[in-house]
Amino acid sequence: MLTLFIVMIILGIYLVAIQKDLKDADKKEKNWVYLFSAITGAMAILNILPVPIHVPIKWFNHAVGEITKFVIKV
Amino acid sequence: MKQHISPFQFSMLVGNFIFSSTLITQPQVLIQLSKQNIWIVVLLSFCLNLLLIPIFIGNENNLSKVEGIFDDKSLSWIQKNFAGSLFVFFFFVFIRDFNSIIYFISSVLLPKTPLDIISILIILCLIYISNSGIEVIARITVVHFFIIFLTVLGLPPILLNEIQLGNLLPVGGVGSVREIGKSMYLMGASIGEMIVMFFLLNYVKPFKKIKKATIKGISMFFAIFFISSLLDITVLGVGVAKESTYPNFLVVQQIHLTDFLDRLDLVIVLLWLPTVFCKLALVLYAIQKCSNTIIGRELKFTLLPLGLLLALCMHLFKDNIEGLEFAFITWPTLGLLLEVIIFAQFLWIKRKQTGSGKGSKDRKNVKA
Repeated sequence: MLTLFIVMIILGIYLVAIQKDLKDADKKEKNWVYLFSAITGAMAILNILPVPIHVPIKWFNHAVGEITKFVIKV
Repeated sequence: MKQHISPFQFSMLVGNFIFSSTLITQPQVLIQLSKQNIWIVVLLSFCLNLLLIPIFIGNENNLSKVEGIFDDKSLSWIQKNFAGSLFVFFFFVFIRDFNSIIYFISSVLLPKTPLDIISILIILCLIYISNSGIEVIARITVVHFFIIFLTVLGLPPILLNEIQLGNLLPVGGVGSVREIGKSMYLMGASIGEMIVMFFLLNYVKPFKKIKKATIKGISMFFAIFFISSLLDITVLGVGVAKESTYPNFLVVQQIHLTDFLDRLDLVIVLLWLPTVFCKLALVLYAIQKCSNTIIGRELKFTLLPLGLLLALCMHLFKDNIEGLEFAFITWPTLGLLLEVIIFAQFLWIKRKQTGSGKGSKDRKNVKA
């Protein structure tokens, strides 16, 4: 919850601060900034929900790590 | 205006990129495998690297042909793939090192501070540095890497009363060749991180002394890594070093100059931490550049959301044990795989550019 709170505050302040510059920027650049901000916000929300976001790394540790373990054992 | 770095700054950036995180991710696992022969592993890896550098760089004159890969607006699919591979490589390097440093600070320096607070404070600092550009990153890296280089060179005399050369014996031993070979495999991905130079080549001017600069940077890394590995064994002994998560930190804790200079470890850690920040700032900068190349637009305002997103990716690791497993066991294979792919793509681009004659001269003419 603490992370979500801090991230939202930082993103909010940042978006307000760059509002003037964004007005001059083209529409696509604006969209990318909002998209990145949305993904960051979504990631912060995922952190507080019971979603197993560590699965990809766990898979890497299991699948790729096995190759290293095999090399070490040989 | 495009930013540039000198060959000297290039060498420091390459050396620091390999050194700063290797210090906390490699020694323990290498000592566990090769025991007292870790110094042989370092020496052999250095020799192997000296052989690899000419293959990596090739003809210095041809390098100018790959200049501007990240500035071209009409990129070929192989160039976009190259940027994509670099993006994946830098992403994994970032989350691995960021996770390592957060847990290191949490376990050694600030045990009562929440991890999220440490990560947010560090990422804000990294965003600030990265936003200043490659020239600023290069300048602060030179200062901090040089300081840590001198500090590590000064460690053996300071630890003279703790060093027991008998810990290095027996040199070699039964089955040592196999153990050294395995250790070199584990160290391969860390040393292969010198492919960061493929990204930095975009900013170096002039190209003439690039081979010498790379050798200088790599040699500085190996010199200090060799000293720190020797100290791990001679001061702590194999038994203690292989059980400790951060043997280098344990070594500097052994400094007892007088009765009142017992906590020099904190000073040395505070000299080393900025080198990791410099590396992470460079990686963050590289990730933004690669993402811009893939998207095909020069985005100015995405650095902060991107940085925060990368900081939140720390939660991709369930805990420190998973992070350590990734750094110790998974990264040697995953990193090596990515490095080979990036190297192959780089060679392909270089060959294509040389073959088609679409060099930097043509590009400069177009720009003019």
